[in-house]
Amino acid sequence: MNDIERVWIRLVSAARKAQTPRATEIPPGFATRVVARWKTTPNSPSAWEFLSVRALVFAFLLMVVSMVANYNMINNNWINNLATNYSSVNDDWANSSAITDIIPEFISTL
Amino acid sequence: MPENQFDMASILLRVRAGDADASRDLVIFLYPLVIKIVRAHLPRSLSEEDLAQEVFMKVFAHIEQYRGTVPFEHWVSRITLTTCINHLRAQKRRPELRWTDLSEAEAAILEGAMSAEFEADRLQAVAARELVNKLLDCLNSEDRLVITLLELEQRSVAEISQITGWNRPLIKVRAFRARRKLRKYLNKLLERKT
Repeated sequence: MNDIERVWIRLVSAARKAQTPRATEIPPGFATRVVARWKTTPNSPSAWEFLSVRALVFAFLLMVVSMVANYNMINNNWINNLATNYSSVNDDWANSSAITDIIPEFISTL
Repeated sequence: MPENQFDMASILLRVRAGDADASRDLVIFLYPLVIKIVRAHLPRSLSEEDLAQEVFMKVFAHIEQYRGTVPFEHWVSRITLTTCINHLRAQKRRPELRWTDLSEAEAAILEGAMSAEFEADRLQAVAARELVNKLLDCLNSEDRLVITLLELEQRSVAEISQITGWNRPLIKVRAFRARRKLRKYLNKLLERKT
């Protein structure tokens, strides 16, 4: 142990003697003041909660705005897709009926 | 209210339901615990009553988050310590301590502590406490907390771990580094005096 450590130990042990047990009685009206302040303080959400709610609202509004702005494109796309799907189903059906026509002919050749 | 008559579980239920009387009882019951911690880790710029009030506001604001896995007093102690640490962190750390920063009594106590026959009386003890606090002001808030709990309050590492929630190796490492820094500051202080 060097000299500095000894000085520190002596200082700390002297400082401990200054720690007299002080009164821990609650000041008059303290509890009432705390409770009144708690009751009057609105339950404000934490910063993260506040930001996440804001972000959710903003994202929803952004979605609505972009849907309105691109309504025509979305609508046309949907109609086109529907039309394409309908025609492809029709083609498949037509093809499949062509095949069913060929099968009896094929069987008769056997 | 005596501790054995205090039914914490039912008081907490009533506080959660918004009962003002139960909340007042809770503040009165917890005040001695909170004020002891606040006094031991009080930043320079705040009054102990203001800080205690802030602690209770946090306790009430987060009381729904208390799950009962630890005794309620431990949970409150941790909130108190965290609040104190946050304020100490915001407080500007003293860059270093110079001989001219010391009062006459503090300079005398430091000179006295250099002798092996040093024995502090009551007044010298107060000066020693002020000097130790000035040296602790040079540390960051976590180091200061560890040294205060270990050296001034003479708590064990296990107790500190329970109070702060830090694991034992972390406390030992922090204490080691904090003591090394304190030795450095004390050494500089004594070098400049000569």
